[in-house]
Amino acid sequence: MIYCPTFTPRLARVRDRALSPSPMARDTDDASRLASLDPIAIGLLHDQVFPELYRYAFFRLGDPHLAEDLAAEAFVRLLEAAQAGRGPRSSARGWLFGTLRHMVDDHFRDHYRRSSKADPEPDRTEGSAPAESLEAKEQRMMVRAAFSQLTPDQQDVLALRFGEECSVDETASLMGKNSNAVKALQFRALQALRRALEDEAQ
Amino acid sequence: MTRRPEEALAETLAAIARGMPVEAAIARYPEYADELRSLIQVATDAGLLRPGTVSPDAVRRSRARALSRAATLASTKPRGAFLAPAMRFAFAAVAVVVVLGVTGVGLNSAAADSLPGDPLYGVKLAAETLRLRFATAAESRLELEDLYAEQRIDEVMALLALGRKVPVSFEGEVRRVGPVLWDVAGVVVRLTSDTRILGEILPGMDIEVEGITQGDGTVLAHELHLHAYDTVGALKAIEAGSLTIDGADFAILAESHIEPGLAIGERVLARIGIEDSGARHVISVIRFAAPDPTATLAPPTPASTATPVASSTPEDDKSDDDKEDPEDRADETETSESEEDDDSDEDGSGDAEKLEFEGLVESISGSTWVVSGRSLAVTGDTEIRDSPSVGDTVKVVAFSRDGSWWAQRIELED
Repeated sequence: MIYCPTFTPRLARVRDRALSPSPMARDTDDASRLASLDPIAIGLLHDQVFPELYRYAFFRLGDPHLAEDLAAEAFVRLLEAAQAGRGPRSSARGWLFGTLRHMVDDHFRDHYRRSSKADPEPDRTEGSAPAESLEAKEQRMMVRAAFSQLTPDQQDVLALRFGEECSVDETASLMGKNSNAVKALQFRALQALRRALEDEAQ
Repeated sequence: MTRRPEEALAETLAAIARGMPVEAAIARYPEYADELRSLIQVATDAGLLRPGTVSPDAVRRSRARALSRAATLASTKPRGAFLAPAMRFAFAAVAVVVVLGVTGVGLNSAAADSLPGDPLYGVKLAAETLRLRFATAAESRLELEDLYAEQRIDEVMALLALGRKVPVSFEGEVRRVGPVLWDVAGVVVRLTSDTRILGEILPGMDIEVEGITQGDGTVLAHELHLHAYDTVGALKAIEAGSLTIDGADFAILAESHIEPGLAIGERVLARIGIEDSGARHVISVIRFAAPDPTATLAPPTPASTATPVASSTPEDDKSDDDKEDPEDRADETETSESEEDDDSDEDGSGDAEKLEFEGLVESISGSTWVVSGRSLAVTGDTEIRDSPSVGDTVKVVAFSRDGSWWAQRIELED
């Protein structure tokens, strides 16, 4: 047995911490765990939200590789923002969707700048049924072309409502609008898509 | 009452989502029936733009990208533990060079930067062993052991950031436990059905992990081995070869460290080591000196149970200035008690407020439990019944003190 006048610094730290006046000041919520770069919190949140982000991005872009890249990049930006103290204060999911929406909009702006015509994005078919019939594929491509003619807000509401299957209230929360505004936007978006589909069919 | 068309559409879609047949849902708004039917068909068409299932490869690639970025950010974090890796590497490199120089062993300092799997890694380990052998003072030796243990973790982090697949072994505190992923000292450890778990491992305990670093930012664990844990309790007996804390006996070995002057009945904090056989021995014991803040707030609890407490990390370290004077704390407690008696402080600030609630255990991190979003300090006096774990529903009795909640009792709900 060793009697040691000063004891292991590690155990002393444990004692000081246990006896400190505010031991519960430790990080407990998602935002603070993200800021502390807690890898488990990051992994769990990622696995929970990435499929949603991917589906949203795919719905709007129609390109699986681009959708994966932007969804992954949105998550990386979340980590960077959290570490810099600019991250979400409450909902990381809301923050991610907001960021991804801006990234998708930016992508379209760049795309339009580069091309004189608002061509729809290429629709590579990862995720669609391998045995999809030619007719079904043509129908999907026509919807894609019509969808690309909608405004970003109209695309957004359709992606959240019919891609993510979010409720009106959830969509309103993610878009930063009230429920009545989302209902009106949804109505106008479907009308606009109908007109565009009619144009595509001619 | 006639709805506006956008409201009729929203309610019709909601009714369909609840399972109502389309025509029945539309029939509730005959004035808009044709428009609703048309827009619902468009909504169905829009559904064609949904992807199928999300590829597991895509999820894995994105997760690896996120964890890799997190590791990079952590290595550049301007304070706390995440600054430590680089500094520790630098310190270790300098230390190895100095020791090797002193001992006349002229090896290249490049070994200090090597990682498991590198040709010079064996040299690095040999230099560490040598330095430990030359550390005569017990405390220096313990500090070195801590340093090298942290260095093993840094090496694993570096391997994960590089995406290398290398067999590794490291020790660290279990911070979070999940069905598949564990957080051990900041490293994400992935368990499979083949992973051997030796010992009853709980958050806050130190374990040894043996496994292989993976490209997805995790360590695939082959074996998790309980290594050590910290416990708080009353010192009941101390003899030549053993020591009793509350009802538990621990062997005292030649290398055990016991703070001088400990008295029977005194509350102590002990670090307990676990041997392969399951036998437990004292690594070190120190006085758990400051009075328990709940002592004068809560009624006496039944016999205290030796309770694992959190291991701290360097970023948790407080300067001496930050530490509370135990005497000041005692004064505050008395004041609080008297205020509680006359019930004059209506806003409750500074008073002990009792709270009883039921909730889900979201995390257990040593001395801090999170139950349904509320953080609770758990001390040696906290009565914990039926060993609840993360995911269990528990009944909690807690007291507020200085804006924090201190758990008096946590009981597994049937």
